[in-house]
Amino acid sequence: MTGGTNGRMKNHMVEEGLIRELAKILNSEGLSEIEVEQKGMRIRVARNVTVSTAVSPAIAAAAPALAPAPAAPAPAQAANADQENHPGTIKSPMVGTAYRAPEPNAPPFVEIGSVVKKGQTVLIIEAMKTMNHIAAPRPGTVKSIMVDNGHPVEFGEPLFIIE
Amino acid sequence: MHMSHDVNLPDGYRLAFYDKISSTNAEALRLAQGGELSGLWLQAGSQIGGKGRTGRQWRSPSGNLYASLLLHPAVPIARALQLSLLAGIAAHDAIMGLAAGAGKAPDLRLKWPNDILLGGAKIGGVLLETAAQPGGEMPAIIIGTGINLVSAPDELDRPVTSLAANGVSVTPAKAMSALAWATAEWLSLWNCGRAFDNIRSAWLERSQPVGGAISVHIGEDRLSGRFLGIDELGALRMSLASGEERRITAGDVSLGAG
Repeated sequence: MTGGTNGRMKNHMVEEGLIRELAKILNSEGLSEIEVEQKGMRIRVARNVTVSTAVSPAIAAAAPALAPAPAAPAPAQAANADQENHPGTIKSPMVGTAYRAPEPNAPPFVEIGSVVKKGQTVLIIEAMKTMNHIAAPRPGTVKSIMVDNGHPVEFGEPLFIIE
Repeated sequence: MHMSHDVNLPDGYRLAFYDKISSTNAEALRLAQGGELSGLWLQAGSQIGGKGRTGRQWRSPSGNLYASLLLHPAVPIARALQLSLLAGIAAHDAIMGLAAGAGKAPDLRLKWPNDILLGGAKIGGVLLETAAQPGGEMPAIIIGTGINLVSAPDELDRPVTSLAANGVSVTPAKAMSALAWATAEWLSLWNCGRAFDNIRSAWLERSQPVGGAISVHIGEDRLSGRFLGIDELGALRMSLASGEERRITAGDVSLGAG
């Protein structure tokens, strides 16, 4: 029944491990930001020196899709604010669970670099056993993907940048 | 595709019948994205690509009901999601009416959000899809409903049944009429979400009793606890062994401790 979800849970574990590794490097090298891209996945880890919560700030700032980011001082949100204010950002119209592919073992609707047509489905958000097809609002190229397969999204959360 | 003449539809609705199709939901989605008007039922004799949640196959041999309703409810998505509960109620009432016509009064219950169980075995299910309309702010919504009339697909993980297995003999056309009328009735009671309280209380009247054991699969996680009902938005409320209350908007619910 849920066997098809194994792949995406494993991916999530890989991403989480990678984020932790990047965060370590960030701290040990005194960097403010690292970005890596591989296999269609881009992870950016930025150091946040103003937040002091129980959550590791580097991870909280880097992975808004893993957990809704708590309200934080403006500097901490600079990276997110860039994405939110970007004119090509598609934001979530609802609370739900994001699926990047039509079904568990199918290829994703889009990857970074995909050229999309206006109205093309780029993501499904499920809530109340309703599969909501999120469409590209304009033609363009997918520049950034801020949502993980099988993870919760909040209303207004940035999902993609399409330019 | 042809227009069907043996189905009795309420005013304001149309029906397109397909002998065999990939899936009525997929076709309805395609039509919606092309600007098809609200109120179209699509019914298939059989489906070769019928699907359930997260792409699960919904085996669709002929003799059962496979139908999707395309609506433009003129409400924002958050409110359109209320139709998930409404669709379960309508399918429940359609099945109850068909059974009553054969002199039966089965133990029919809704399992969140819209599975229909007869004596604890699945007899019907609903999958909804929404899509932005060309040039419109409000989404088109597709309510896909399957009801096991003559046969139930074998499923490894849960009991299933059909109306025929419970002594009720019904044609797909008759079931289509019953579903179309029940849906139209609940849609007008819903009143574009202005009367969601009616839907919520009607759903609770038809669901398993509050307090029963349930478990919910969310991805690879499983939560077990007690059913507390549904909240003001229709999300499942459950209490965990720790006493913590959780509200669920997406997941697979099983009755019992799981």
